[in-house]
Amino acid sequence: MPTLRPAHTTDLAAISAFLAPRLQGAGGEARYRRYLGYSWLDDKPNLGFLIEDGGIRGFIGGIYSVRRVAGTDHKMCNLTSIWVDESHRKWTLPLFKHMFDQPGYTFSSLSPTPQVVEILRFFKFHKHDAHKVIATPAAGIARSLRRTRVYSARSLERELDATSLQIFRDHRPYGCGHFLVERGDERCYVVTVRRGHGVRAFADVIYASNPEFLVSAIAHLHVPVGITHKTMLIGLERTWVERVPFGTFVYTKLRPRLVRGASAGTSDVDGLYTELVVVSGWP
Amino acid sequence: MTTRIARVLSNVFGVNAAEITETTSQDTLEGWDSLNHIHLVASLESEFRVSFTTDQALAMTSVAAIRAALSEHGVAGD
Repeated sequence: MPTLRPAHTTDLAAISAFLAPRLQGAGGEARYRRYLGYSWLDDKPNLGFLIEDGGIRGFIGGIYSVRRVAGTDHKMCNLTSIWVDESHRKWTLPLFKHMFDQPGYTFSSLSPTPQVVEILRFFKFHKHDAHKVIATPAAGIARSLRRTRVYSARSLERELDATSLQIFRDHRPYGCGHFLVERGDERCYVVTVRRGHGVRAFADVIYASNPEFLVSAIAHLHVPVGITHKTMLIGLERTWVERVPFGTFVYTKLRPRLVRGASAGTSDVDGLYTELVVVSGWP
Repeated sequence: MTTRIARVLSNVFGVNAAEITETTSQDTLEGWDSLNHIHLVASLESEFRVSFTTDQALAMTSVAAIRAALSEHGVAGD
């Protein structure tokens, strides 16, 4: 009879050795040590849950964080690095249940396989399209004449408010882009990660403190984003853009986003403090 | 077995309904993995017009357990 239990730091080497040949992500075991050894939470509840039966037979990873939304702290858990050996597949649902039995968390999965989507739907997750509006350098040119300043990571720290500053410090160890866009009284702190490969690569905006303003000022971000991520294409949440403007196109090929909220709403779930961050800048 | 439960299991797992017995369970039926379990729950809900809670659905890992869950909804599986 297998044992289902929380995974802890002492299991990290065994979990990484279990996942690397099965999920085959670039970087081997180091990739999974990086995923589960994220730096923003010293006191992690666990690394996820595992099935043990003479060795690890299954694992579901959890990347935890506490997010302050509208003055309230929310406990978040982003699911990552999921695998169960064929011989133990009947234990998959109990494994997920152990994870979801942790009270008070809002769970998210940002790049689930079709099989994981089925499982999460079974557990009453809500599925949302992760459509992006991809802005090319031609986007927003008509509005680019207005005086706008963009601070890069080297100079923005002293300009940020407390919430943005915490996000900046938590994400600085990773390969994210950080920008502060300013025009008159309006400001937007932006965090980006590079996604996709080759000509399909784009800088995905995983956080914008003022999305409406960002959309209006997008033309000013192409050059700094290009320097940081080696792509001039910028991905914006489809929901931020009312009408798809000139110089942009809608990208619908990303895997859906699934969320089950204990307290935070779907709109409060973004790419910060997730696997998108810990993998950014990774080969 | 010739019950509706047996018919549902037969359709989901691709086995002859005659092979399904009262003692059939996740341990005895090949292919009864997590994804097929989800399909089984959906098929049972459709066949018997009931809606199981997640805990009920997770517990239905044998014909006997399915019968017990259905009886909680006032439904016989015959």
